[in-house]
Amino acid sequence: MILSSFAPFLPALTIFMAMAIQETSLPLASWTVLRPDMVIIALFYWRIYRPDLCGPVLAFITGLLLDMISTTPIGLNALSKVILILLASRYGKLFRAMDFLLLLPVIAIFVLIDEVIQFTWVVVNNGLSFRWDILAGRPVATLIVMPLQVRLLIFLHRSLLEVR
Amino acid sequence: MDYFLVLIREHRHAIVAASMLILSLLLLLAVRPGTHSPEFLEDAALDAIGYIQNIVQSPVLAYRDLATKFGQWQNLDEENRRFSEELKLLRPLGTRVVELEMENRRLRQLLNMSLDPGLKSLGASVVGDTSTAFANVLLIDAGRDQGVKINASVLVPEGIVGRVVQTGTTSSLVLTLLDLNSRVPAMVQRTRVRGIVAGINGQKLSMEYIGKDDDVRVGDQILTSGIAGSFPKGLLIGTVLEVKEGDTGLFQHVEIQPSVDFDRVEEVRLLIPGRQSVIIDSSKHLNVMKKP
Repeated sequence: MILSSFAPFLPALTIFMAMAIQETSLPLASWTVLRPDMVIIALFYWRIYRPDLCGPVLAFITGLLLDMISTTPIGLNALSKVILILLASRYGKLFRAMDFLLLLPVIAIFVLIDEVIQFTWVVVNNGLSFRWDILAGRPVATLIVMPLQVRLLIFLHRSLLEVR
Repeated sequence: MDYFLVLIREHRHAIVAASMLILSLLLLLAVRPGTHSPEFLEDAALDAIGYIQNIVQSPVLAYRDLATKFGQWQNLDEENRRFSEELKLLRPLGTRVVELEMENRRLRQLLNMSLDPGLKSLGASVVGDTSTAFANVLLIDAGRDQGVKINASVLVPEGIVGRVVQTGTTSSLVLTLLDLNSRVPAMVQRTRVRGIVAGINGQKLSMEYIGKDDDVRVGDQILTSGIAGSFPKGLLIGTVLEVKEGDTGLFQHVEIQPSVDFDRVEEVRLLIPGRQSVIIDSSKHLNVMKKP
């Protein structure tokens, strides 16, 4: 009973957890550059497999929280995450039919789109002031982490959301 | 009326999506950079993330502590011997240090300079690194409950890390010197030439408003000047890495290597200005004393 009432919030909870882990500080130089975008993986997964529980409102709130804790202009992450969610739902059927290996480059492209949106805004407002290494490292790290995170999401999905 | 309701119901997904897009754009255009979102939202976001990050970090910290302890046990004998030798060498210096301290105190009294009693010191751990390619921010596990205030200076033994820009009840956000929005009034230690140290979202810093004729050389140390900023005077920022002629012809371009390795900051010290706090500028006092 408790589990079933908690289930609809599972996507939001996992996205929030992904955000906290992603933004955790580790005293490693490589962590700064090779930090996976776990929020995008979680958003993508839930939008593809449970679109009823992960819509533009959740993406907007997630982006807004990211803006607040990373001091990026308020609305920038919110905008990029809503665009990503809309892209994911536009090609949802195609992605669902795809082999997992083919989804890896798709996720990398999603991370790049997210970066391009933010990059465009920052460059227009502040000029070319950013770190190329972080920009390049994030999609790579996301690809490395994706199989493990998706496996965990599938486990949670099956054990908490698909219970009959 | 019914027709509209049916229409809205049919296209509700598209309407919600469009509303979210428009709202994001409005926020981006309407909220000026540096403006704070509602306090309760900031509090909730910072504290919740900070709390989870403390939990996530605990096994990492436990492992690190254990590894450090093992390392220390292994080197205990060697260290003991080394410290004994160092102590023998340093003992005569102890008297000299006390002597210099007393002299320093006397000179300060002479110059009517008091150490700022209003600055309160506080220790905190870095629990989050929310930096991206476009922003450089750290999350620390101390907030308003611990007495943290906006603009408090954040330091490590190597130098300045940045300043507090947002406070939650138990967590705070620190804008590092590397961030594009960071500006610190600074001076060259050797020649006392003043300028502004700015972040460029890279791994280096830039010192601005250094005139063409000002004497700045590679290797010079850059300190906070304590003028019109939240940082007390004399804190180490970094070392001059390169000096180039500026494009405008009026200023030099000075590149600085920060003294702090921002990727490895774990514990920090905060200097929190109290109600009576006045940031001291000794040069002012010197000028006063020079008057006939």
